[in-house]
Amino acid sequence: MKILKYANGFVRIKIWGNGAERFFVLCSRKQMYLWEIEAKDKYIYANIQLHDFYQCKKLAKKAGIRAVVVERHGLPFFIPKILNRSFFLVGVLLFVIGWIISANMLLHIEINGNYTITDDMFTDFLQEEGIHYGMWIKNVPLEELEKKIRRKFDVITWTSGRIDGTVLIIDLKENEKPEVGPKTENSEYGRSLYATMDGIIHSIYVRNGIPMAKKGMVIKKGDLLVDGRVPVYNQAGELVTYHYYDADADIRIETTIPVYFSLDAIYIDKEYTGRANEGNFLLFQNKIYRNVLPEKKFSKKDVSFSTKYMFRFSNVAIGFGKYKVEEYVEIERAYTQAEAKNLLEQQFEKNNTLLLEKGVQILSKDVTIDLIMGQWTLKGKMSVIMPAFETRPNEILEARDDSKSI
Amino acid sequence: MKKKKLEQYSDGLRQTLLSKNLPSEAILGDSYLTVVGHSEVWIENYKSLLLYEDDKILVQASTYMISIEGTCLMISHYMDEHMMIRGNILKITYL
Repeated sequence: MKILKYANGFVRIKIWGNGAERFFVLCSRKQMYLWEIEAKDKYIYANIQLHDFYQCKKLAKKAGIRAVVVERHGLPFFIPKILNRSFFLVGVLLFVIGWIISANMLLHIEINGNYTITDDMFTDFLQEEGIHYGMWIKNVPLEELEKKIRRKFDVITWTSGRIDGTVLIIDLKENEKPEVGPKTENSEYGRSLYATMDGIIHSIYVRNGIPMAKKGMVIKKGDLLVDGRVPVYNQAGELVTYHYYDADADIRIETTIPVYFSLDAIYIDKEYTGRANEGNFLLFQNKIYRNVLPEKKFSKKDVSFSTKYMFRFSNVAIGFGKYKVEEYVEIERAYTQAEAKNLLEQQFEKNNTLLLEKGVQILSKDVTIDLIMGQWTLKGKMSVIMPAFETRPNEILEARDDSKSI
Repeated sequence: MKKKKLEQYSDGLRQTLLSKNLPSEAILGDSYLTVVGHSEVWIENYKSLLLYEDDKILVQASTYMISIEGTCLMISHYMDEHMMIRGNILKITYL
């Protein structure tokens, strides 16, 4: 309703005289809409639509009142004002053109589902294929791109590209069970699983192949765990041939792994001289522009930035703030035993977290920290349960059977 | 005499309509008032506006008048069928 009023235009009129009520009644009989009727001093103010105002002149005469316009609102009054401001109009026009152009350009690329392939690798690949920020959206060859991605990266099993507004979204699915080892000529004869460490079998679940080890069995590095060759016997119980498969199993081995971390006892530390310079910087599209570069006289320096305001639109970042350059000199220092212990333990815990993420279960730790030959070392052993096997091509024991089936 | 008879007739008709749960405003042309707190009044089915002042508004209904008294009274919407009054409403009287 408000929009309609604004589009049609309306005026605020000031009425005075004895027949104001009669004027309102006459207006309502003619289906004229009045609103915001307000009595102030001896006058009555009311809003009326522009086309009704032209008709109500006769009614005002009939009712014996005087009406004057005090305010004008709406597009019929606004447009002529705007038309007189040519620069403003050109600005609006340019804005709209820029908006339309940018709405048809590729402003952002979103990649989902990549784990082994990094974003940088993918961005390089896209640049090689001629897909970059700022290109026209209609020129993005989606189907062809999907094919090229699958062709370029073997690990990707499924890909889907779509355009959402000005964003190119690429969804990927990587092979959860990547191929182990390079393909060889013998790979068509299947693969077997071999132990890569000494230990005791904690659990073994075979999906494909013949298990050659069982739970609780002591194994050595290189022992065959699951055989990919399945012997086929005839009715007389004689070995006829072998069928070759890719052995597949979940095997967890209880074993001990060595732990070794070291740290130089002497390190280079920074000591700030107190000489420093400050300035302002402007960040535009991932590049930093500084007003002065006074730190050239400093031999060693640290630069720190503190952003006061940052605006990010799609892939373009704009910001400004202050930066500080501090001079320092390098001095040699030696770690105390507590410092060295703390740092080595941090490294050790970080390593343990990574192992846990990889599915390694830690049973016990036995480590010591010593200063040996100018180095702080953390060494010892950890008892763990982990998958420790590798695949190797099957040995061909007989001529290949053409009736091989899987 | 005629007016008195008409009033008696309309009173009887009103009683009948009320007993039958029928809307009297549709048949007798009664005004329909909606009061929201003491700041807003909707008047529908009125005949004309008789007086408009800052502190008093007088509206002609079918056979009676409605007087709305208060302060800072303003007619927010004014149309043939309904009007909305806003302000600090103190009293509504049927005359």
